[in-house]
Amino acid sequence: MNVLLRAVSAEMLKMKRTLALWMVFIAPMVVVVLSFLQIYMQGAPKKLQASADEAWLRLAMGITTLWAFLMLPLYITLETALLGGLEHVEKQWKQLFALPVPRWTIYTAKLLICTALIAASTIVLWAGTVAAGLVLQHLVPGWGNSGIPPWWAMLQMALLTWLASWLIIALQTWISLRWRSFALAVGIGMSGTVVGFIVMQSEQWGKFYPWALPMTTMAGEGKNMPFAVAYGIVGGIILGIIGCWEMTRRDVL
Amino acid sequence: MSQNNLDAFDSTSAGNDTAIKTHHLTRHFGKLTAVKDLSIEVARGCIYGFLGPNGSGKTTTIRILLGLIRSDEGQVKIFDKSLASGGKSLLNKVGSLIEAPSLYGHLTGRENLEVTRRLLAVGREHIDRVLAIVRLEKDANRPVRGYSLGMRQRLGLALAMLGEPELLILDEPTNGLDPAGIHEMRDLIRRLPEEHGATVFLSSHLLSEIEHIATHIGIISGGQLLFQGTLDQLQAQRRERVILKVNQPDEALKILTENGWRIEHDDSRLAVLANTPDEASEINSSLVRSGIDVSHLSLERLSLEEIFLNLTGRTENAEVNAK
Repeated sequence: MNVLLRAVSAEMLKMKRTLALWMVFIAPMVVVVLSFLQIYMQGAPKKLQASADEAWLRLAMGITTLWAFLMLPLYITLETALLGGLEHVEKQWKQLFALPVPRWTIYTAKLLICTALIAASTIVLWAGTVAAGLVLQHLVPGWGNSGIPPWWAMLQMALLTWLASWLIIALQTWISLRWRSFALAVGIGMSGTVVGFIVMQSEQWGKFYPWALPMTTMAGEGKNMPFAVAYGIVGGIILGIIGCWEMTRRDVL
Repeated sequence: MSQNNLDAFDSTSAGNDTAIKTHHLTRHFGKLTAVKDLSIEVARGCIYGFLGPNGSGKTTTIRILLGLIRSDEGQVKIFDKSLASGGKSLLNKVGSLIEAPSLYGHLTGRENLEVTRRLLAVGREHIDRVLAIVRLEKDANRPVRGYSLGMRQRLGLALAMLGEPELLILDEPTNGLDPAGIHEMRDLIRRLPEEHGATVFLSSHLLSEIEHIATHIGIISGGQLLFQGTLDQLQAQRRERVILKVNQPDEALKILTENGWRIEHDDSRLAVLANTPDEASEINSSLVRSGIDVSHLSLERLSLEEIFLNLTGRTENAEVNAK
């Protein structure tokens, strides 16, 4: 356990001054700001909300949908590719794997860091949503989200998309660590996301599609949410172990 | 491998004075045999120069020693412990620098050391220690992106020494450096055994790179070990060359080849590889007996570089012939 903590702390230092670290704030804030501007431009809806809480959740729903549907899979793709790229630019593997540290700790640390960064972004998304809502109360009072936000329900919504994204994280992390090519990792992640727009519409198969799992937690009033979260977590752990096993026994040339 | 071989391997290495010992290492990449039946032995405290042309299997051997790739056959022992059974903990005593060092350009020199320090779990004071050894204290807080090639190489060496290794494995550490950088690197490496008690295993494709620092030399070509021993032993293998000028070079060439001499020739002279002055007179008399006039005969010593080229060149010829 100690070796794993050491590897995680080494990973954290490596991220200093990288775009990958900035992306933790940029990715969710882009979604929050875009959604906010959209509401601000359109003004208050004609039909008033039933309650303040429902208005808050409507805001959170809008932001989280854009996040889960589009930004999250693309952001995971970019983030893992950036972190993988750190180790490919100067063939770091030959140096890392020659250290007296088990290979699995280095892979696992990378995977944990990626998952943690996505979690941090999820928190930023939630905090940004709350902030956007508070500003909205003043600028567009007609939106109706007065008072204290139902923060737990909002956080829950965001965290469920994170849990469901573990499978994408494990998959993209493996691809970006396994192959040198930045274009390959980004290509797969982008195609995966775009193809997901279509696959998601399939009642039968949509819920199995990795890149659409975060969205599946919200689609259809969340009827597939428990499945998407369980599938995301279990699939992510299994794929994480397979990826780690594969990297551990590879020849490092 | 039979059990007998294993036992023999274990018993011969009972002493505690070998840093590296490999036993019949073989590794194939598809149809290519990168390393073939390679047995080397590196004594503790020496600087071992591992010499061979590009593509001769040096890097493959080094990667096997570091556990980066597996061998198809054979065994590796580092400080008398098998790499297979000792696993990663053995590498505690090993520091490595393979070709160009792998550095994080966006981090400073000090931060690069800190990344490795966290993984190795050694004390913070070691960072200053290794920075002092490679004389990078002044530039330690600059991003590595702006480092010169020589500074990068020195930082690579500092990284390799961070865990106070008893064995340093350096693959072509002077590759791509300018003469001043090469000189500095050589100086650093030469001091390692005396000042830090380390054993150094050093690879190069140029004899001139290591003949001034190595105490022992292993020569590899085509994945096979051709020579292993001290520099003196290599010197003792020196051959001499008999330089001849004759009036009928073609005829002379034919006669000498028939008699089994190895000959290099150009338009004006013949060079025959021989070992002793006796052999020179033997060559001379056989030519004279055949009615060829010898106008010039002199002996020329082969340089170490030529011995090296001869050794490595010969196997290539042998392989071509075998095919």
